[in-house]
Amino acid sequence: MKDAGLSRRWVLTAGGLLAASACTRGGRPTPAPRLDPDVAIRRAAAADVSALLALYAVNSQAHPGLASRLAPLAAETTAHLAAVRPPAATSTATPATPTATGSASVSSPPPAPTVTEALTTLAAAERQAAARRAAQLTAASPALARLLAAVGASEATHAMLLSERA
Amino acid sequence: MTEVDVLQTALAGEHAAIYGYGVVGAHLSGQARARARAAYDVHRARRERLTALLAQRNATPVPAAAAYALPRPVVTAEDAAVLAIDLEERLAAVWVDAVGLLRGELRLFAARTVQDAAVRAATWRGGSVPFPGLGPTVS
Repeated sequence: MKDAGLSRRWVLTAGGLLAASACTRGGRPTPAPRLDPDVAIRRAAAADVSALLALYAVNSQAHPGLASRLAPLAAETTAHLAAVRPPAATSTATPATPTATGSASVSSPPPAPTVTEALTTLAAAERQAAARRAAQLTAASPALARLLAAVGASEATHAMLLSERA
Repeated sequence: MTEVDVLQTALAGEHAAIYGYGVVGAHLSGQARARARAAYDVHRARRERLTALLAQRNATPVPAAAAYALPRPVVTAEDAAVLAIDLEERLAAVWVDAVGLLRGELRLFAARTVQDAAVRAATWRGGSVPFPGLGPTVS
């Protein structure tokens, strides 16, 4: 019975948050986009995630045996990019393809020479990404901080999965 | 919600997880049992930290319940692993909420805890999810 009460509390918490973010959005009288500090944080996070995607791409290509292991992680990373990227109105007119966005500033990294090194490199990159997400969310709005916390947690999970022996 | 309310909600979640891991561990053996034990210890340590944070704020920490209703009966080792996933996923959601509601060092603590819960859930599950604590999709 106690558990039901606890679940209710969690549901209430989630509801309260929805209300809170709705207030934030409704109460802000459509400011100029560049005044919103979240946009800069989103740009930085999107650049990080784009670099990760590029790393997945070159290593999947160079090591086809890893492709099935890397594919689900790369797919989640693509979802991260779509979620953290600044709204279209505030970003420059770039094509909507996830892999293309930000790639202009991210030079294609070389693939790791061996499968083991590819996994080590990707695990280290995901671990660093998770740490950066934690740093970025400290200055973010509550809604963006929640999103970055979830993305960072997924990245930390990727680091763990990439560190496991196949 | 005040900072104290957020910490109390997180503490209630950790109490439930500690109870849950007691059940989980009792149905496991070997490496899985050791993993449950390690998680149990982490949640107990976090409970102590939350208790201290609440005491610093002159708040009385919410007590644990004597027992908690489980989402479903735990009979087999597989049931136990499913419960462990559920415990960590619920906690990830609680701590993601805390990230949105807290500031500064406490927000960072909450974010690191979301990462820990997500990694533990993925270890039990054997796979990742894109947005731990937020649900399957994010618009």
